[in-house]
Amino acid sequence: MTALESSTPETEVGALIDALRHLPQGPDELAALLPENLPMYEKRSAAEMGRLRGYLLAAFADTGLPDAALPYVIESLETGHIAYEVAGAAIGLRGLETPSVGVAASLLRAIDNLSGADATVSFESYKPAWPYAQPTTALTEVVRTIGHFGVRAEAALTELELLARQRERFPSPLLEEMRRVLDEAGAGHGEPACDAACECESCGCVPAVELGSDDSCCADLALPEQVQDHASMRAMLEDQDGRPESFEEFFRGKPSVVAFFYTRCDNPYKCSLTITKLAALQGSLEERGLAGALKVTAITYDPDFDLPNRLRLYGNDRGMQFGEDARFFRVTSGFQEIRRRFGLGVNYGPSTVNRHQTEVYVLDERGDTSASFTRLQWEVEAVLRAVENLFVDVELRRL
Amino acid sequence: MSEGAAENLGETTRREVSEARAARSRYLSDLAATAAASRAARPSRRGLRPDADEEPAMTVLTDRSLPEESRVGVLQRLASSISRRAEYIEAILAIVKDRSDSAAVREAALQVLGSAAFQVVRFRPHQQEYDDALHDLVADPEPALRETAVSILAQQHDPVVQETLLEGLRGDGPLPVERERAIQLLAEDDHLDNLPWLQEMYRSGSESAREEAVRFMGSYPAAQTTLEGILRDKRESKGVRQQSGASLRYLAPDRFEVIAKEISTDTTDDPEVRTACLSALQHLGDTDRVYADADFVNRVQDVSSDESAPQVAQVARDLLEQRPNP
Repeated sequence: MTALESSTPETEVGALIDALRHLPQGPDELAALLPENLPMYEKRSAAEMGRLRGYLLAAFADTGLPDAALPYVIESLETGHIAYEVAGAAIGLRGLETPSVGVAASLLRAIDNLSGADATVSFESYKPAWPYAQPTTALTEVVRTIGHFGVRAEAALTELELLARQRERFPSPLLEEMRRVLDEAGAGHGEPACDAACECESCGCVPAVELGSDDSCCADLALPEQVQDHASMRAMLEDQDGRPESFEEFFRGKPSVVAFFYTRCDNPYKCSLTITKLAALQGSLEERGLAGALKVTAITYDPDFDLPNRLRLYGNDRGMQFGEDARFFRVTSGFQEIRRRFGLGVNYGPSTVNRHQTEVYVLDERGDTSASFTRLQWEVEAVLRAVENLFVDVELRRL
Repeated sequence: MSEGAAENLGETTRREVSEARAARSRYLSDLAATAAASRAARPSRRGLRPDADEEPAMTVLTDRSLPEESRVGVLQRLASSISRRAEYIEAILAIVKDRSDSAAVREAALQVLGSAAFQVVRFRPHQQEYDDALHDLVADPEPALRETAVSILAQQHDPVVQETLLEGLRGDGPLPVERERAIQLLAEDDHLDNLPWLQEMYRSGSESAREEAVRFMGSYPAAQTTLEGILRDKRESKGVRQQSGASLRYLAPDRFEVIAKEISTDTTDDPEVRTACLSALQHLGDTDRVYADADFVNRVQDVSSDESAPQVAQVARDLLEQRPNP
């Protein structure tokens, strides 16, 4: 593959993506471009990252979608707030041979997220000029993908029936596309869909899985490369009240849940939602009498800008109850160390974060990662289960 | 309220309601007459329902042969209610997109759509077509329409218009708006690489442009040194220096505190800037730490009796009086 660097013009990256569409090694080489923390993405703006991501994902429609790329496609469907990226993910998903139950849910979530925020986009070339020769929209592509899977995405078709009646919510051309898809699926619509309980050997399909759940096949694929050894961690932190803290000391002695975020994140389905869920997790831990047994924390990706008062306000506004074991941090020294330690899925433009995944980690009392919830949307209940499992492990170790 | 006053108020209200009703009635009557004349003159205009049930407002709005003021008048009247009427939104979108229509009418139509778009839920089915129309306007020959469209899209962080502005600034394409305005609009999105453009705007812009540039720099940690330099620069205007102080305080409150202490007690500096620095130290940020700095408090005491700068002296006295444990 051509060596790509942060200085490689985005149009050249676009040309490479086009070249890979038709090569046998295309799927794997395209998948290798997906992690946002690759050096080639440094110093690019968030807008450029969104364009590259959307175009890259859409290419999987031509090459076929490899397993390694599926979590990225699902991530963009579930958390994308820019029409181009979501459209690219919806198109790329058509490279998947057999959809799973989780895929239908992700497509429906994309419709929910982008309702009212859809836009005209085009994949006719990389960065085409307005007006487009082949215009489309994110929701049109999501609906077409539901149509592409047909009865294999039964749950999505059923929901589409309801959505197609919401005239006050969607523009007329999209409603027409929904009707077209439903009409075409009409003949087979109603046949049983493949689900987790399906006997795959008998029906010949791939077993359906709920992406994002604990036991998802893709959750493992999404795990970043992490350095488990934390013995030499010298990173220093500062909390929401300006109090200094050593990373190593703070994350020892008690298990912790640590989320990563930054206050300038403009995607409502990423940092803002992560911190809101973290506050909900805090409430659930309290209800279960586990509040004192665990630290609930978050660390900003943007330590230069996220000063203590910003961390405090951001947490307060989303329901966090700060205390000795519930603190938000910025890293005052050794951020690169922490980036490597967790294998953070983040990269930086000239001014701030240009792209990041969602990431929440459960650490044991030694500061080692016991569970991670990265890229795909995480649920409070799933983290609670991981925490409870960790407590059992800790008890067993004591015995 | 006395009984008499209440009666007067009631009378005034009744009179105003009556006048408003009469004005509305006159307007509707004029509108109906204009629409009837329009229909009589051109009964089979394309794109319109030919039936006689068509609303007069729609007839007048879409009749390009009528005077601009009649059509603009209808648009202004419709402004508050069009989000409930899909057919009017479509008609107004068609006017905005029609480059051969009157610029004044198109501008008024764009303004009405902009207001309607604030009714987010009702406007939702039309949002995408509206955005498409705005994208078309970015290359419109009418500068006012271009400016409005580019502003709306840039404030939404629209990637297409951001790219157009960037290409224009780099000299790779036409700029749809003035260069300074383009930089300001890009600066609405702090995830872009705006600092070099803001620094250019600061170097070459008017005083108000420099003030704007410094305001936006407050989002960029890399601008800290620049902001410190501007705040200290005695040749710079008061307004720009005060804005740089506000931006620096937002970005790095500790550094602002250090520099504000220097400036506020520097008798050779501008009294207004000194006053602003003292006020910020007294009312904003970590005031306990400010009062705990004995050296600074001593210098403020000197300032408080400085008759050559009475305004600064007054603020200095206020600061000392507010000290928790003098």
